[in-house]
Amino acid sequence: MVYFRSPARTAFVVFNTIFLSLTAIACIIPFIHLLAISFSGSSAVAAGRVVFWPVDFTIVSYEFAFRGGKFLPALWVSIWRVLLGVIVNLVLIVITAYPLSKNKDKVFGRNIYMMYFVVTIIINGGLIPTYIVVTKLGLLNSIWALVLPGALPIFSMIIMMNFMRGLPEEIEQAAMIDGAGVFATLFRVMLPLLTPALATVGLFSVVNHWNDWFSGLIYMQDSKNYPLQTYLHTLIINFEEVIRMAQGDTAKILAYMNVRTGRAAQLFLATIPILMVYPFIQKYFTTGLVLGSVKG
Amino acid sequence: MYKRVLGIVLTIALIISVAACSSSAPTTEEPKDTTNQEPKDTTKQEPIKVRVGLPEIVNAKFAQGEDYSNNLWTKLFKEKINVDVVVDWITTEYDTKLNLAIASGELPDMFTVNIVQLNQLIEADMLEDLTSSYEKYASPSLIKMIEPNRDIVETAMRDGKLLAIPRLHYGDETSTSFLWARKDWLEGNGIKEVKTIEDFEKMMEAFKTNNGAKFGTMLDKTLSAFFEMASSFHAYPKIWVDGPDGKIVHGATLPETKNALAKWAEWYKKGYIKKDFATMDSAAMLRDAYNGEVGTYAQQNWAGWQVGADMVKNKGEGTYFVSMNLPSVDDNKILYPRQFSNSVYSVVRKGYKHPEVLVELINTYIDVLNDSIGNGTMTLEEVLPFNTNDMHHITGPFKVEFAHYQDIKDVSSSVITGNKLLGSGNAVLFYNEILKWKNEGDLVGLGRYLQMGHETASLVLGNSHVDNEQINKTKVWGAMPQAMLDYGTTLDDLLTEGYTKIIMGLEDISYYDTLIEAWRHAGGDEVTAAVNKMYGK
Repeated sequence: MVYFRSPARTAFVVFNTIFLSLTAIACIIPFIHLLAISFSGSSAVAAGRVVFWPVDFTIVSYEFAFRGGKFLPALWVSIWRVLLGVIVNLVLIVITAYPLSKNKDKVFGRNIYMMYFVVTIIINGGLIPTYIVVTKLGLLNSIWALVLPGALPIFSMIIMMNFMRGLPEEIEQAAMIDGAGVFATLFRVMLPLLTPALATVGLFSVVNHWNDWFSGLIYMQDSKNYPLQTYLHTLIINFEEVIRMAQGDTAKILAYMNVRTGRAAQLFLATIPILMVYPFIQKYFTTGLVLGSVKG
Repeated sequence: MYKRVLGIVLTIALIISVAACSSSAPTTEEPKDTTNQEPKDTTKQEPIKVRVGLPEIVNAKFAQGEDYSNNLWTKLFKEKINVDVVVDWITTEYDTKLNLAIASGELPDMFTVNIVQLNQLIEADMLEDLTSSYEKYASPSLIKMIEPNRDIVETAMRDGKLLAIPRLHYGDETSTSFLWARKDWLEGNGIKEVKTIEDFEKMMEAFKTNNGAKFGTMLDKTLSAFFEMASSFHAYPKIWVDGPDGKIVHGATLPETKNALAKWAEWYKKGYIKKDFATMDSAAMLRDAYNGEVGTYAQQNWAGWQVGADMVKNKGEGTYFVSMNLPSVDDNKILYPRQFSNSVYSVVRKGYKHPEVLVELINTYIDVLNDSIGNGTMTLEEVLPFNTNDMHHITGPFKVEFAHYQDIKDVSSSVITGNKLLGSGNAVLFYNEILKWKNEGDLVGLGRYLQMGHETASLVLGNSHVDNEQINKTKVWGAMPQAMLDYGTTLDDLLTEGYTKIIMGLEDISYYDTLIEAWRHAGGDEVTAAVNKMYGK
């Protein structure tokens, strides 16, 4: 693209660059602040003397995070959960969306299936029934309790289904004529074309599994099995809440008084993995792979 | 074609789900009972297994290789009464987890509940009767702790049956409030004590003019300092008291609360309180103290842990806050509000074969932490591991709370006079902490020193409040009426919001009457009626 350089255009580019830079800075400032806090002495943090540069530099918070013996196991549980969860999600999404993307004359009862799935978006069983189901299935304390209850995200499935509908039907027909069966068509012809949609729903699924702290809290019988976000949630309880709940139990109050910098360190460490996922997924967000595959 | 494929896919899905379910065995197996139906008397039998649910203690530090299901306490329980404690689950959100366990009916054998859960479980008949266990097995020490608190025991009884062992609470001496002020500023201005509200105002003024304080006293968005200081005005905005007509009323509806609010509004106008306190949490509020911009606030006995070590690190030697009695608006005795604070009860699941084990384990807990040093059965060195590193908080249901009245007396007199006389493991622990600060200047002990290391330390004053009968117990002493539980904190929040407006001058003091009227309509009257029905004479 070549733009004609009018004064108005130049003004727009300058303004736009400044605006986007400021937005980017506004996004990154809290991280820098958090990082500075995590390297500072706790009394300096309490006095609010830390802005963007550590005061009383110390790495004690990071030592605490790794030596406390809880951060790393929790991180491992989280990574394991994300891997399992995303694989289960994607497999189920693809094999569910593929038949549903066909017309109802090709798939018997397609609309009934569709209703069956969509109704779960609107209505869910509620916390206690879900908990009882998971308990009775004997999933408590296992990684499957975190993966299976949301094994098929319907919303992502619908996105995938609509994407499949957008692909030219001729590609599939060509594969069929060349002798590919249903599975060969799906996995060897369709799947490579689905990468943008897979990347999108995959990212949803990664973020969902990574950020979910509540299910870890209720399905794990032992804090050793907490995923990272559940563990972090236990660190970030606000002080007023503690005072209200402690009802004069001094020990409880004192326990929460001095964890500020350790908290910052662990929060920062927890954001790193999710930040690292983005660049690697980025390249799959390219559409247009279908361009030119069908000569009309 | 497609139907066949769909069939295959569904079959695969089915296989996957079945495989997943069978891959992990259920964790809640019924304990295999120890076939012996006779009452147990010797330790020759099979050990008794007790499954417990525990709240996680954030700061607990276990010895190498130990954890909640294997530590010095569990070993002791095994050795003393041949009980295997098995941990069913541990969680940091105890109430959520327990509510789910109650809903799904999969309870541990023994666990702790709050008063709401206790009533739910009693209604549903899910708890074992502990009457005979308590009568037969309670040790003299346990009886000595429980019996003076009949009012609390009543809350754990139904139809003459005892269904829970109350954990009791720290004594009244830990519930009172104090005025905390910066030590070097007090000395610099020659202020010895603050008797009246006028004295307090003079002190704030002196700190502003002589020490460069930006404002007089600290307040955060929860108005905690206002509530802690209400006693100065003989106002009790947080508890239920006898009204002028003999009926029980909420303290907030009495004119003393209005007077207190008027004073705080005046202070706000004069610039004694930070303009934007309504946006600050306690961390933001304390920031001003650490920066030397304010030198007083009203808070409970533990404030020294907040404005002790961190003050010294930021502002240098001698800048920590010390406690004083609250100033008073007149010559009448100040009374301190006391909420009903037995928040925890230990219970046994209905159908568990050995309910007496709960009582025996609690006996053991008391014996180690309270009696063993005095009896000479254990030495101080042997007891210390049991109550350091928060090890005395990890036993879950097998625990009672000791009143610290005697410990405070022992420790403070030992430190002040130098004659060491310590009656319990707790006392020894506190004493050693304080000496760390006094002898080595180690900041680790400063918080404890400010609680019980000198003549006007907070808990020492707290003891004197108990001695002088300055405790004003709330009339709702025990179970709350259902109406109160239904409203939760909504009514309190309504009042707090209104108070904030008045203090900030957004509303005139006359707005207070409107506010109380609104509170009555929103449910205050209903709750008041319910309280009078339950506790009225």
